[in-house]
Amino acid sequence: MIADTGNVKFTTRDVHVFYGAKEAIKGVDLDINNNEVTALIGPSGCGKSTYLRCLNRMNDTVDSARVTGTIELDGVDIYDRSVDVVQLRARVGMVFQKPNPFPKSIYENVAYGPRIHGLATKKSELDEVVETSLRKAGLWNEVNDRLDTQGTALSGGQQQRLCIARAIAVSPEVILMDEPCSALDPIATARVEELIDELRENYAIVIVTHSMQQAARVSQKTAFFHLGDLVEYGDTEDIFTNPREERTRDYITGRFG
Amino acid sequence: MPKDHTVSAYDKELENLRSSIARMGGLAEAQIAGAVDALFKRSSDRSAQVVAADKSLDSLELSIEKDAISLLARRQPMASDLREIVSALKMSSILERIGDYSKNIAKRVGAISDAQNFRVVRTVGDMAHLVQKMLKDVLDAYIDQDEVKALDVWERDTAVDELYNSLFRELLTYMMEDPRSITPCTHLLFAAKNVERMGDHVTNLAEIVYYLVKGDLLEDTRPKSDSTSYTVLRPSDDD
Ligand SMILES: Nc1ncnc2c1ncn2[C@@H]1O[C@H](COP(=O)(O)OP(=O)(O)OP(=O)(O)O)[C@@H](O)[C@H]1O
Ligand SMILES: [Mg+2]
Repeated sequence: MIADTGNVKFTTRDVHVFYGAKEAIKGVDLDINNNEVTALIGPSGCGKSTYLRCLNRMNDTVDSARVTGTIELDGVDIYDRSVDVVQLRARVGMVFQKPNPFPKSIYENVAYGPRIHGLATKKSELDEVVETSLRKAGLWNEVNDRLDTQGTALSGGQQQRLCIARAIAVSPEVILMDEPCSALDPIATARVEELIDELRENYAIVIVTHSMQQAARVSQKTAFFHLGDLVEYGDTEDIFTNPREERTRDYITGRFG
Repeated sequence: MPKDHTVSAYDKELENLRSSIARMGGLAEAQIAGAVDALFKRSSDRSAQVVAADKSLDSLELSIEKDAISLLARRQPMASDLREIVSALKMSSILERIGDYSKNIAKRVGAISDAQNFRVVRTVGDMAHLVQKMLKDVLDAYIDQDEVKALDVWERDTAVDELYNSLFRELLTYMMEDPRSITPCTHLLFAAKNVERMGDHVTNLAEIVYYLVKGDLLEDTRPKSDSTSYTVLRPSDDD
């Protein structure tokens, strides 16, 4: 199951992930396109997060995890020895289910990445990165008068947008989001969704979500996973109005036993 | 037929929607038959019955609309469920329209009585019979989720159009021959036009059933053979 359009950012082929002896991803072929939101959906435990974490080698941090197959970012194998994982994670940012700001000021949360990656050194440069990132994340107007307060003192929705600002501050090319709205109320969710739609212009975005409505709203492509297999991939509109595979149909219409 | 939903009340609601559509369809069929019957019998009682019975179609449409909106709002339907609900909304409004046409024919029964000698009344009856059969078949296709049957109905509308074309010319001829026939003939022409429009609506129902089952839209490539919009008969044509 391979993307039909050009403009491919990630090419993944025959991806298997094992946790010890357990095979969590069973040979997935999938492309992730630039300037598109790709939604990963499927029942709990089907391997969405596991697959997502392959894309910036977050699985490296899990001792028992072993990844095989090919994962190429712009044609370069990201599991190649020559690849610097820290650089990779700057190019492929991640936003998690639970907002996890550092226990530092709002300013520092955003400035940290650009500073350690040497993207901005002077105070004025950092100030600018912080402002533009917070603006892009739709948070600037709510926090510009209190950049010194702790990131953890913000509301859940604001914290999540802070994490998104932190992710985009290092000018990534891809943003991975693992259930970014599951802890948010409908309005904060709508803000984040609008943000995702805006970010799509400049990034490739992969989002894991349990909300079918959210997948339908924000994504252009949808991939349905089940028990470690990629069952169906296609245009989001087709997946939600006329899925081809029975397992997809059963899942999205609420017929899974 | 798809498996049951995890939430069984959802299945029940969809089932209710389907059976309401089937009920509306049955009523709409009976209304066509009733209108034609009133026309043949020149019966004002029969015609009054048809006019009165139209109300139940209206109220069924309303209740289907309410149920469908409530399902959309509460269940966030996807895939075949979404198609099912959208289709029910569209089908109910089409069936209601078909009912209106039958009612309109019934209302013309008095005015057409004078034209009873014309065999064209028979032709209107033949047209209506074809449409009624098409409607019955498309409802079967709906209930059986049978896209092949729906396609078959979709192709049959041409026959209705052809009958209408020939009837149109015939009526024009009568009216030219005898100006006193103009009033009944005009009413008959409207009645025939109503039946022709019902045929178009049944064709739309067939398209909806096809979409419901297959998930693909049937592109409108159906040959149209209603040519009356540009048919002209001149008195001098006989010369
Ligand atoms: N660190 C780990 N060690 C061992 N097994 C794991 C680990 N992480 C995940 N798994 C297993 O791998 C499978 C896929 O898990 P994963 O977290 O990718 O699922 P998911 O689709 O993201 O589920 P959810 O929707 O619940 O987040 C599951 O069976 C899970 O138990
Ligand atoms: Mg997960």
